[in-house]
Amino acid sequence: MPVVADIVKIDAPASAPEGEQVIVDVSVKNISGADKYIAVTGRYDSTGIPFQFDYLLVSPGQTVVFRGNFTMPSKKVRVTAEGYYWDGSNWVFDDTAYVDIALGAVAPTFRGFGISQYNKR
Amino acid sequence: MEGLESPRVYTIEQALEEVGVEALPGEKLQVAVGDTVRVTASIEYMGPALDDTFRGAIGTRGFAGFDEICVGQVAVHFNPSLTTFTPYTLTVDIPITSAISPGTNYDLYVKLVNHPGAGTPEVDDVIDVLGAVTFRNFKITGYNKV
Repeated sequence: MPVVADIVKIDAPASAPEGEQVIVDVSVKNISGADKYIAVTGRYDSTGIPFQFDYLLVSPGQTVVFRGNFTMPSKKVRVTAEGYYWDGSNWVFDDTAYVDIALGAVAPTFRGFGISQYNKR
Repeated sequence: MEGLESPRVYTIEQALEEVGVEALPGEKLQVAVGDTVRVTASIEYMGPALDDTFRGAIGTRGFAGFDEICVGQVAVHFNPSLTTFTPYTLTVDIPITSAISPGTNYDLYVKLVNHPGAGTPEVDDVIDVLGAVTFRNFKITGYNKV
């Protein structure tokens, strides 16, 4: 059970086609009674996900969102997030959560369809 | 001169046979029964591997849609392109058959049979179909010793 950095939810699409940018929002709540520096790390399968913030100073009871993104590979993935808090000298692991993202189909898309010439043969 | 080929002598008909008569969208093309109209279209595709049929038709555009009179179609394949649009050039031959009557201002359109959402590019009033070669008043009008 987390004591400071409680990951309350991960928002991510249920599926995404290969090549699409997947946005992952990790919501973390400071459940302690004091201001705390909170950080989130994440990965899909074993590949790290960059997040918008390295860490944030979070008030007691406040929930903050760390936004990360990655490019969907050619298979389903599991996105895992981990929450940490700063105890004054170290980052302390406190909570983890995950979501699965299925590989979605890319819809066929056309553009620029036009007749360029016609000849008598 | 060595290395140079002798010039060839073409009749106009031979020249037209080899190079064809080309028209850009909006330009008129005169054809006759027995000719073939080759239509070239451009399109860009993004998505998984896809097979479809590229169809071209000459006919008339009416209130109820396009009345296809002369038709040609060909199978086309789009390679998978998941993140970027890939350009393609599609070509289809439309034989001019006796199904079409001599006349002017026929319309031309193309489509992907299974993906109407791609659009149906059309150029109107650009195909004139000539009538059959016709002679009349063929008779001897004189005969001389030369």
